[in-house]
Amino acid sequence: MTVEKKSALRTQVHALNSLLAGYEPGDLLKGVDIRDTLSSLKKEMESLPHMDKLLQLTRHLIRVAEALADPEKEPHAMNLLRSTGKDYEAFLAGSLSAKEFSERIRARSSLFQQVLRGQKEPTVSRRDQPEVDTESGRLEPAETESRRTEKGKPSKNADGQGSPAEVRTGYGEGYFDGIVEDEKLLSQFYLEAKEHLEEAQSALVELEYDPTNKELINNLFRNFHTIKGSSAFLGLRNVEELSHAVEDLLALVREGKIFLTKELIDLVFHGMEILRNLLEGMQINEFRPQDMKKSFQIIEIFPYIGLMRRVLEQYKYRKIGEILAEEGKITLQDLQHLLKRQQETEKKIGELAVEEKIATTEDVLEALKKQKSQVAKVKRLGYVKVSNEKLNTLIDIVGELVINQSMLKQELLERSGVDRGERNISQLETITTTIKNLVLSMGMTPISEIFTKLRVVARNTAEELGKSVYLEMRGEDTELDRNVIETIYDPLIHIIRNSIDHGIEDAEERQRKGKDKVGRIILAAEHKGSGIEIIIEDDGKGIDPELVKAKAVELGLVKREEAEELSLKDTYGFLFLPGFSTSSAVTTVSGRGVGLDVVKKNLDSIHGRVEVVSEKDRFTRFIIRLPLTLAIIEGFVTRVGENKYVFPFSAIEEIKVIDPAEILASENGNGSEALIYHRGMHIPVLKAHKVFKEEEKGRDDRILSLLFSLDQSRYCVVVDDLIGKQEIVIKNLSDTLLQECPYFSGGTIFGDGSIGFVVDMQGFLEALK
Amino acid sequence: MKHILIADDSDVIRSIVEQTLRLHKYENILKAIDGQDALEKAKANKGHIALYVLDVNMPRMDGLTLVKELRSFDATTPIIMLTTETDKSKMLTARDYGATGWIIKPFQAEKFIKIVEMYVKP
Repeated sequence: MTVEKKSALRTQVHALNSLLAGYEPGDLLKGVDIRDTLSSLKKEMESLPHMDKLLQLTRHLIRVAEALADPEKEPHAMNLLRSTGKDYEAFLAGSLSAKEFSERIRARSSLFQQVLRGQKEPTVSRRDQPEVDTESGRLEPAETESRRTEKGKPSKNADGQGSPAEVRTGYGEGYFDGIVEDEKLLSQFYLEAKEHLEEAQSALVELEYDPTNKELINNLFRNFHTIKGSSAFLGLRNVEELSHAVEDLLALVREGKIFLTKELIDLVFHGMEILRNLLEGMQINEFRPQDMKKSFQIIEIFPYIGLMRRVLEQYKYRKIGEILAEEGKITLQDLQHLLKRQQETEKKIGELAVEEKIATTEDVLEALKKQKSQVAKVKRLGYVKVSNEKLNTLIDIVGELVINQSMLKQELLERSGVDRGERNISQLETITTTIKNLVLSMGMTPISEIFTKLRVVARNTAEELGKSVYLEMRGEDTELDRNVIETIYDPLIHIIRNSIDHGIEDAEERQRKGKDKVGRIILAAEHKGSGIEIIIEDDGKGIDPELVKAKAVELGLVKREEAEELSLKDTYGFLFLPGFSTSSAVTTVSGRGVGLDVVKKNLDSIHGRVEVVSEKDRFTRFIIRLPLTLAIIEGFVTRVGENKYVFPFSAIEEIKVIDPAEILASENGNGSEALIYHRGMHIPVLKAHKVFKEEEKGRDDRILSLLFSLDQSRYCVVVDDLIGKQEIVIKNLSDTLLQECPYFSGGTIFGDGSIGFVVDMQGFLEALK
Repeated sequence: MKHILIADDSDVIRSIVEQTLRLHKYENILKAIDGQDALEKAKANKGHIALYVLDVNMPRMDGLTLVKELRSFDATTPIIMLTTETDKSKMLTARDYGATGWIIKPFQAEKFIKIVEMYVKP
């Protein structure tokens, strides 16, 4: 056997051992590599004479390597491979005698059996007890060549692996050779990558305003991760390297090691721009690899990758010298001097500073502490996840608690002279209220959750229309019931798109009017009374009340002479009627029939109200008032017949005591109708009894009613008794009951244990029709 | 003939894996676009799947959760995870949940097939 052959065998066994050393359980690719190395070792031996025993051992080892694929056998198989591999190499190198080697293998024979049981048979020969007869192996140790085995080591990929400062420029020879020649796959990748970039774009825009949002960061990471993975497959190395660089940054952000600053966001945006260019380069060449390569050549990615690396370095660590200088402990000249000395001595800056007596040991230690802390600076708040279901049940139970507590109070108060009881009950009341507020706040989410999404909407809408708009947000941390937030999202989108489309003028017109070229929209939320007020205000052309009136007259909603007397509030109220639009032009953005009436309807469903104030050429302001939560509302309790009914307080304008003499009989489409003339308007008088099917007990002297304002119309609802305004804990009614009585939105239990129904005004009015 | 179920949210990777398998005469291939989809398809084809090939990072349900879910009703069918260098740390957990092994992307089709052959014959 030639020296070359022997050395080739040793090289292969050495490579095998490197593979075995780096193997981790479950690494299927390495498993295949191990098997392949053994196979080529086997092939090598087959070409040599007198290798029967070693060949046999190698065949067994191949079968052992196959057992790596079975998680149960894997640990034993790996042990066997590692120990045998080491002995194998030692034997080939001559440091283990043939006899010793043979003995060691024999000692492991039961292990071999165990692993090989059930394993598929070797193709050539079958031998359950592997052993090595070195005599026929006749492999003499050859010390002189042992050093050459080093060459067999898989060398680290030389390019792209250098230090962070080392940046390649230009694409090397053959850089693009790996690109897959499959236009279909490439175009598929193009579409997929485009989609990911779009997703990444919107996540990034949101992150600008909510830079610690874990979900967004994860999504963003996944976008680049996927692009990287797919491009690597197709041999698009430039795309791969670029997205890899961005992914590296995002990985650190995801791990909370660095904070996503504005600069970093810009950096990611920049990378996306280059990626987009690369993708376009693919598309314009219709995914023909040869032509794509030419386009790729002119799109530089390495300056960006280099920049990214430098930036990452900087974010990972602020240098001790910089910290000292920033703190004013040393001057910039000192720092420069120290840096120069550092190059000469290769000592650490901190050491040098102390040595040269520029800074004290304490200062340096302090700076070191700061350097360490900056790595983990991201604020951590502990959270516990609770299912919606559990939370709702909790809110429900706390509702019960409030009710029970007030029942108990009533009972105690009725038995006079229980002083201590009274004190205790008021303490209980405080505790219950605290619990109630706490539990309700758990279902709350900051409104920033949708505000940031609205920013994307504004950005996109403005872009679509070629306008430039600045969205200012205030009170993003105002918290609201999650259900409320979900309901107001669509209305807010609509209003914002409306504002940009119809409100904000184009740049030229704005300049003519002496306004800033950039339109301004304010989105604000704040606590007002027991609810929340959201304001959307634009500084556009405003809504001309005369135009609205004219349109209302045209649609027959109001008589011309009455229109003159309408208040501004009533006038703008028309805007919320279905099919009402003053806009002459219909654009794709808004104004396609779906209008503010939908906004109003959505808000009604959560007992919210909306109102418009505007001034021509100055502003349009939408004011939305919402209850804090849906679980507890402000209700007005009344008695009708034998039962209590709760009306939503937000819809009541006033309490009206009607003198029977005031009532006018009138006719409408359905027959006779009772009306009163009040504040210059004819208002229908509706009897709640009719809807609730309660018995009417004629009281002729005075009629109690509540005056509601709904959908631009007013109604007087007659009830038997007014009990008063109260916080109402809403309990769900059964579905069957709700189906039979769509005019109820829920039920409630009062302090005295009696129950009442909460009225849904829309349903109530429908029931009368 | 049992099926091989591939779950990956990337069209490209799904196509590549599928093409590779078809080229090597594996005809019965089920594809899922995310974890949830994969779980549904696995349940619908219970007992007729010979191998799962799952991506780690997927929307709706990630690969790790998916492994756990699959193992709740299928204790033996091999599960191969497709992962990347950056997600390698997750593989220990994947193994705890019952995954058979993992392959780091990008991989060569030839090696992929060698691995598949260890578990299923076409």
